Amino acid sequence: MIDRRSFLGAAGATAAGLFLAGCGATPAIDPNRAASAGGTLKFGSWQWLEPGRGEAMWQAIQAYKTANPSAVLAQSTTPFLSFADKLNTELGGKGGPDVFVVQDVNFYPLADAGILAPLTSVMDSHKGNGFNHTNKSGLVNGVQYGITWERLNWNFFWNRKVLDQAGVTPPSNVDELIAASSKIRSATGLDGFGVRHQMTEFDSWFMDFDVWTYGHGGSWSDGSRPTIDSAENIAGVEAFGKIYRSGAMPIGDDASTMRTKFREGRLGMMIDVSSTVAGILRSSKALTSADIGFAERIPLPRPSAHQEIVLAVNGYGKNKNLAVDFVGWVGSDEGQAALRTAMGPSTLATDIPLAPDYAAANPWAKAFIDLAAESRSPLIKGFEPQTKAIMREVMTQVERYLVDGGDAATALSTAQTQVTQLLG
Amino acid sequence: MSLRTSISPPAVAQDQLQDAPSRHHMWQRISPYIYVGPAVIYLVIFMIIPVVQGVQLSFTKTPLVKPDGGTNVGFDNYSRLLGSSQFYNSLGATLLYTAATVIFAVAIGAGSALLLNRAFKGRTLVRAIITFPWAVPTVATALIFSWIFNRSDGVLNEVVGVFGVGQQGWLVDPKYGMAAVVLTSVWKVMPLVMLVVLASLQSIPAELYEATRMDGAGALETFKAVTWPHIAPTVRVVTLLMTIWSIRRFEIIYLLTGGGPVDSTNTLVVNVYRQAFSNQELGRAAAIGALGLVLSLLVTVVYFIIERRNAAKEA
Repeated sequence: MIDRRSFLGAAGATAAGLFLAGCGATPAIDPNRAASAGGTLKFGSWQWLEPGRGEAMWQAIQAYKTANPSAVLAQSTTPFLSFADKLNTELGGKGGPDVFVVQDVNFYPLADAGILAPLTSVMDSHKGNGFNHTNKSGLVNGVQYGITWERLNWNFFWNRKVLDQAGVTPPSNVDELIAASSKIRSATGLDGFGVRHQMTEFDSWFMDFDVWTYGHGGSWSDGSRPTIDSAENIAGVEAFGKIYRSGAMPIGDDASTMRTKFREGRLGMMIDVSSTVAGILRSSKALTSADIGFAERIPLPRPSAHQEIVLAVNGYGKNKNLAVDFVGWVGSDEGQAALRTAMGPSTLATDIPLAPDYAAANPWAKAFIDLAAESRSPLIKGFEPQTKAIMREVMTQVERYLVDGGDAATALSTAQTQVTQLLG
Repeated sequence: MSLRTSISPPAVAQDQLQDAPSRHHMWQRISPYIYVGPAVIYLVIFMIIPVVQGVQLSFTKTPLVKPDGGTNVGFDNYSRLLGSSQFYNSLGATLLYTAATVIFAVAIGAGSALLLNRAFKGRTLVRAIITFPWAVPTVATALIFSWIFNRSDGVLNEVVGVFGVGQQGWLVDPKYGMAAVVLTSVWKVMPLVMLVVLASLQSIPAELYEATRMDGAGALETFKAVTWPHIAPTVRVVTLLMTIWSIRRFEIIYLLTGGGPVDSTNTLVVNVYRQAFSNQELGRAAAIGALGLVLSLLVTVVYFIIERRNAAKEA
């Protein structure tokens, strides 16, 4: 039986122990310490997990230690599907990595909420090759909060061997694409064409889908009000619907499966971003760069879309000055040169060209880079922070149209009504 | 020194003798609180406070990335939800998913328990196999079934193809999306029902079955007179738990369909996730969560009303 004195004594000892343990905790780092003081910089990205390319990028940025020997870089990584959710939750809790890359649709709300560190000093002190137009994606409310890590452009490419085997010439419009896909299937038994088409991949599909609406000259807003049901958007949805219902695509396959099929020579044609082609070639035993056929642009009337990945600094970071200094290094000639080799055919923060030997070995790469001049952002003008919420409504109706039938005009009209309600 | 002196008890002060009963009495009064205290503290910190905070959050417009930067909007979140067809779609999907999962899981689980209660060769192995789905991690279950349901390469389409049924988009066609998640969920949770009901069956005294046999009762009469009265309370409890767990289930649905196709599996919980992380609206997500809590509480209230009525009948 415990008596009260013993119980109170034990409780007091426990409390004292906890207090002393707290007193012995590591003191917090001064967030305003100079970059030259060094320290550990946690860099958050899903790309560290990309086979081959992730490791190459990581090794490329180790060159920062030459510029700042007292800095140590540490990885913070989460798979792509949950990266944005985890990052937002961490930042909401005033934590998270010191510096990170994030897609522009996720970058904009963070910058708009004022939780990223401004990079004004980076822009002011920049020397060497100038920052190109892609860095406008990092400008929010008149302040530069991010610089381009890479811009990935969508393009149309194919497996030359599969097309040759089927006796098909590369298509130049949607109808030819459908015909080519059907012929590939009938001649070889392989799938003809693959592109994302499911809400289970919403976070990537809605950006993929911009290829079709932008490709017909559409926009989701005019800057002040949503224009979901514009004639151009309807045309884009109808074009995609034609392909979806033609039997040309392996319905139900996710992007990972289609990329695997292409890598194994079991899929004829794709529309995807440059890093997909680079990743496929890096890991394929069936394909070489010479097997990749490519178009100068996607077979649609107007310029297409891009996916921008922005490098930003956590405003709650423990070592902000070091993080800003690192971003400045990434944008410098030295940093861009280090990343060029690792990034492959992505558009970077400056117009540093592809290495000549890489360009010669990968003739498809330049076509992807050149598309950055005209490609359009997935951010909805005037409603940038609400882009994902708006596109959720739009893509739900697009999915309904694809699966249930009906007409694209009605689907987008319903989406227009729901988006208007959503925006209040 | 006499022996009596050497073994006499130590002198005890008169006031100490008087203190002993009151200390014992105090310990008896406070000891239940000490034993229950840690559990209550845990419940208050990790359940009651978060629920209260969640309800408070539901009256605000709060962005995900600035959870301390919310503004009070009163009942705006609730009025928007209750005026939106998407909310009623979510509610309907939740009720359909819950009803289907519970009915099939309880029926198949209880039926399996009845079969496995008999002795037969290989019974232990069969029990182990039937229990296996419960041991498989939920994420692994969702990934496996996403491949089983794959339209072009999935095993299910191979099987139905043998019966002349063409390739179906189990996860991309809204006609089948709900059935696919229900099937996966039932596969996962049915073993628990089976185990619980089996334990209840094994507590029925064998003499009761002997008595019915001697009275010449058939299988159905025996089930009605002996088996069901004994396992009914267990079946009711497991049904309540399955119902509440189904209302709350997230991983299987989100990983298989993401709430699609065409929002056909967009249950309240999936909708909470979407509002919170995709739309970054914590206030609206909390409002949906609060309404989901009301639904769970309603189910629990109905259960206790039924139990009270049954207890009154038996009395």
